[in-house]
Amino acid sequence: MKEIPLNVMASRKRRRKENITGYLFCTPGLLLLLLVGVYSIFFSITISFFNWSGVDFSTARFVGFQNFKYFLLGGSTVETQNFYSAIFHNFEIAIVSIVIIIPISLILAFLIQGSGKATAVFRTIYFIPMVASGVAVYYVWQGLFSADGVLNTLFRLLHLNFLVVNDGLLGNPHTAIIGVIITVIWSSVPGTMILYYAGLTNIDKELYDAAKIDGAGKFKVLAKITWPLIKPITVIAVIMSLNGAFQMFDNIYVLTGGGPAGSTEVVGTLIYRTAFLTNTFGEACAMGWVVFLVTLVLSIYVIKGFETDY
Amino acid sequence: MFKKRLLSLVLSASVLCSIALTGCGSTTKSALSTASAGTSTKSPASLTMWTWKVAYEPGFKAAAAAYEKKTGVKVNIQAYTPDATYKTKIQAAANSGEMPDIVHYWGDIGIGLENALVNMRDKITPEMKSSYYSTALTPLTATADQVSAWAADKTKSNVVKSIKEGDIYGLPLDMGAFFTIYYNKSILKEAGVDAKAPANWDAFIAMMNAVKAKTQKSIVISGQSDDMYHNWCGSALFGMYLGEEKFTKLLKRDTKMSDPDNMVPLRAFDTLVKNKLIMPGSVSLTIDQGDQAFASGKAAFDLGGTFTLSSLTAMGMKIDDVGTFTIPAISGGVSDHFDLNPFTLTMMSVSNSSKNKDAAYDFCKYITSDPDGAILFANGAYDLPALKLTSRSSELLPAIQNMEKSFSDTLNVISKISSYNTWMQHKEWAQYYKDLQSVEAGTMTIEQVAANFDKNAASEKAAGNN
Repeated sequence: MKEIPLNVMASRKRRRKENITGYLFCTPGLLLLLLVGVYSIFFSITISFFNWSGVDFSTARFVGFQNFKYFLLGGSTVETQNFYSAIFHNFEIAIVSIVIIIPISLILAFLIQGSGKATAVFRTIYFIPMVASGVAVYYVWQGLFSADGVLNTLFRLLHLNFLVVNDGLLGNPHTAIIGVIITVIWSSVPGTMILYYAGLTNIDKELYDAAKIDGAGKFKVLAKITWPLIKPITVIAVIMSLNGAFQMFDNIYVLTGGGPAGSTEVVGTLIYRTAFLTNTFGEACAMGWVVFLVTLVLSIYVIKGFETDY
Repeated sequence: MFKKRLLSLVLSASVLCSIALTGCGSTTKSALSTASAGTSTKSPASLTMWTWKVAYEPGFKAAAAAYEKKTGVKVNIQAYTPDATYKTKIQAAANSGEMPDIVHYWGDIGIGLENALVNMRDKITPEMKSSYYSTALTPLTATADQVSAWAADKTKSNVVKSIKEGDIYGLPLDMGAFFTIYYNKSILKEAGVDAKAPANWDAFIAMMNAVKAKTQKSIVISGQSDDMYHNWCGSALFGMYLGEEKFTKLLKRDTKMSDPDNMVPLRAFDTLVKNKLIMPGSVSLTIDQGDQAFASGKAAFDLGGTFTLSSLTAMGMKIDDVGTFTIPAISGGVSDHFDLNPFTLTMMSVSNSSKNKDAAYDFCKYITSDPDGAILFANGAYDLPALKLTSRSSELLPAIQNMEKSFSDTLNVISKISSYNTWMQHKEWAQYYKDLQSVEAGTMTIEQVAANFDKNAASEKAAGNN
């Protein structure tokens, strides 16, 4: 048997001790994750197969797939209609948000790359929505969009009467979703902009210099160097926007409550009402898991779609 | 190197210990509070109470102060608003066993929270029962019909299914009714319109048209809760026009909404829309925001309930500026007026997890059954107590006395239909409320609303959702 030198043994011993220290540091976090994260996930999956009023799980009744059937397969026509309508609004918000948020964020990220004083000021301004208290700001938006709010008043002053919505932007089933999307864009741009800003500052300047020497124009540099290098960030931004759109709750809850006529109802507000206002937690959890699956499939699709190029 | 490793190990251990101790800490705390509760069950130093009614706070505080003088027990009142937030908070607290001693809640049975509240069926004496208005305990007490309906309903939770006939989970605090139109006397005067109750729905429309022509002000019907118009106005119009028999048939899905008679109350709503009498933007307002619009003079009329008065006064509206009348009837219907029957609005309940259940019940009893407590609450909250005050009624504020006088002992159609609340939970009504908002926005006609209602009612019935 080959003898292991003493110095190697000492090194292994030291490494083992260091590993133990590392594991000890990780333990609190892992325990918390197990207790809070994994437990609640499994509890939520379990609940979706039960009829439960939300207090004391011993009173829950196993109902199999009845909760899913109720809102997915026409177990209740009205509930099914409401669910699909809500998920459609989520898609609507997601698509419009992605199409608008990503280009705006990218442009702003380019603009705040400089080192001047004005750039620093703009960088701070653009960042404000990310640190402002959501609910408080949504009440301000509600006031701006109301029938006699700033927006309508401004349009009237500018004689742009065709833009005035008599019931306020949020009071008309045709326009309420626009109001919601405006607030989504406002609150999501800073986060996406920071992502792009980080991505742009990480691009090696030598690549641009080399392209310049080779005689590449600005558009070519953008298409051949910048865009391919920030594509992974775009994937993250798209997935974040998708998740954000499907987990949307607070802005809609404050701005419209899902109305008028259900025109801004999203799955988040529907789940909230199902769980807390009608005390049907099982159905609410079932809805939540269906939405999770939808988001998961979409995210995989997005990753696959971008995968071919990088 | 060794020192560094030692330090990191000590840090790791201390993090783990602190987590463990946090757990132990809470156990110790709860063990202590249990122990102290054990010794202080007879006379706790203080009780906690939660409510969502900010406008009721002065009333609660006045009664609590008098109760403290009388018993030495302090009641700490905490208000959480709006309604939905409060419901969520109660739900979460019930789950975690962190409920307050006393819970102020909507007066109803079958709410799904019963297992978190104390069943008071054996505590309420016959004397107490007779001290309340005759209908006060009705919505709080489980009836045989309800128990059998819940048993047959596959969507009801086990908590609701376990409720037995006669179970009662709260004492009635206050009485009131929806179906009340508030008007601003100053605005009506400015418009040259007589401040008196209109004879019928057409006269009401004419009255609102006259006010709007002069002042540009109309009625605010808050729509963020989409069921508000129907529950506070439309149902009375259906009841008065159709009468008990026909309205019951519609509720039981035995007739269609598109039947000519059933369309008449729907048309009444359409007259509001076609005459542009609903305040622009009403549909996105919460009930409180709607009341604020009225209180600040943006609207001439406000659809509310008797309880709205307390909100309006809390918002600073002068009580002399406020006038009220009951929803007027549509001409040609079964009834030409709506008898305003008071029903229990809210109840005082004791939490099952309270360590001071007896003391908590005693305070609930004081504020709901003792004239001293009930009067202090009522005058502070601008609200009518569920307790019959008989000779002491004169101690109530004049506005509350007037409210009391507006109530009738004759049962209205809705009160006569015993399963009204159960049938109103049929899902086709939930869609109907939304469709009415589409009518308001001009994207649907009432004929389409009726057709959609009939289609949904048929499919829900076919799916066995009763």
